[in-house]
Amino acid sequence: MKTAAPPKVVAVYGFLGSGKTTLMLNLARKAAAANRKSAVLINEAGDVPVDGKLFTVNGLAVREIFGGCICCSLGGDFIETLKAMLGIPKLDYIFVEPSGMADARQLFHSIQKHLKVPISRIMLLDGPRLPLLLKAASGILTRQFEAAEIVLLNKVDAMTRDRLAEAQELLVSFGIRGRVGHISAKNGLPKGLEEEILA
Amino acid sequence: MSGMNSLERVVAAIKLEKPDRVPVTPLSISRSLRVLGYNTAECLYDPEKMAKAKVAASTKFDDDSCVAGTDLFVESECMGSKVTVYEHTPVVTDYFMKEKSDINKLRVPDPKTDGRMPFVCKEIEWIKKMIGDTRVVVPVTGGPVTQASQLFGPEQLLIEMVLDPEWVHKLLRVCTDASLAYWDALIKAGAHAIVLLEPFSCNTILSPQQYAEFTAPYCKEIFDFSWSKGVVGVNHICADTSLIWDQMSSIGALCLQLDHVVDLSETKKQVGKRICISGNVHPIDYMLYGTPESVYWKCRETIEKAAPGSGFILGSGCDLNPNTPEENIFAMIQAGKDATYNDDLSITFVKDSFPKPVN
Repeated sequence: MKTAAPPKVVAVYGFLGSGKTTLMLNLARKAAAANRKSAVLINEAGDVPVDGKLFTVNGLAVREIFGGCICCSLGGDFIETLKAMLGIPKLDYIFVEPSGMADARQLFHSIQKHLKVPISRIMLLDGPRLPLLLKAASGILTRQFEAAEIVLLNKVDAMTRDRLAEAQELLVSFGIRGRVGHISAKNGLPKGLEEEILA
Repeated sequence: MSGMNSLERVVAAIKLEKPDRVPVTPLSISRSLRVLGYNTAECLYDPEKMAKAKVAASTKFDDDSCVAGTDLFVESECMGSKVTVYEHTPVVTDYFMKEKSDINKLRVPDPKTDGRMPFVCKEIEWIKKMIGDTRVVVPVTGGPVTQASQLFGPEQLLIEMVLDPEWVHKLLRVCTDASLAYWDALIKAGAHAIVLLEPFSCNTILSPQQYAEFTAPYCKEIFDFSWSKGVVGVNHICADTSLIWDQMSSIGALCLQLDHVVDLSETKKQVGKRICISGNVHPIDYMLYGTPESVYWKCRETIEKAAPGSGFILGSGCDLNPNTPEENIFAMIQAGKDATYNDDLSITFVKDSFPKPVN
């Protein structure tokens, strides 16, 4: 007998204010519209106030997982919780939102090592604040860049063409290895990208 | 010297003298409570229960330490950040400061009355009543920069370090004063050593220059205060610290507690002749998901890197997950018991308590 395919794990991560919760909700809504079932694993205190009620409206199972210590918090608990969620029957997607301060590279390495599941890894950046963020948090952002399959510069609707070009150059000078795109998460993703993520 | 008790063994390591064997202090906090079937939430405000579980665990595993407290949010909670208690850990879920001007509303807590401070102090008194000076009684606390991140939010704090460093220093002054008040109370309660957990200051988050500006001077004040009272300060930073070992070793702490991501043979080479090093077995890959055999041999490898010459305490890189199998904790302790010191401070393993794991 053919076993059911495991849910697709999609990680959406980035700094506070990068729009990751908005993007994740948009993706989950699209999935729901296509009769696909999603669950959410959150490791964040702050940003958009995510509560059980908000996600219940969207028909999602939500697990919040918080740890004691900023760098180690995403370890065992995160993996154990994700492992349990992978066992939820007839689930199509698990959206994972690590803390904005997560060492994404280490987290994804641990998940892949212990759970052997592929993860789509989308990093969001607050476009208008990019120059400041790169100055203030180059260490943690570097680790996040290294872990990303796609880096999306968000809120580009609030940027002039020149500012956007400047931001894209900054990313190149920072040595971003993965794909880079730009979006306005509140308006949703470009269709092709959305389909790719939810494929 | 043989027949040392745990406290004597750890003190010898910290003084870079000869312990009878390698001391072991797994960072077992919420995991300890499981020994009596408790979770953290039910013990947080019951210091007697908390102390009984911690003592039961350190006795059962024959751990050289007994850790008091549970987390690094005690200070920021006292100063107004909202803490939510999850099953095995309290966590800040709402920052006290919404605006920079909220700094004017901050006040230094009174450890006798505020938040969980008196409960941790009482826990220490209970532990001391039960085990006296046989094992190191060591509470964990939050460092000033980490506290600041819990009061204002980590991302916002990083940004203000660039935009308004003077304001950040003002905030760190209050956090340091909170630490000093709390450490004074912990010392009076009977702590032998105190761990300053400062994960926000790791190399992944702060540059070495930022560590020098924002972390080192304030931590030095706290460690100097502690040592002036004869109590050992332990400088714990999770994640990568390889760029700041020299700084971390020069601010008054007598022990560096390091995470699994660093190579302790490098640490030993750089600073091992002047400060005790503790660590750094992976709390997840080995302690949670490993086997007793893999834990034991990973511990042996760690001992070989950092124990020769003394000044080493074997432990996990960070707090053990509450689901860590007890067999793995026993295996870690056994590795320390098997590693005896010779007169020239080299190590001899008296036996192989576990077979080498087959890859």
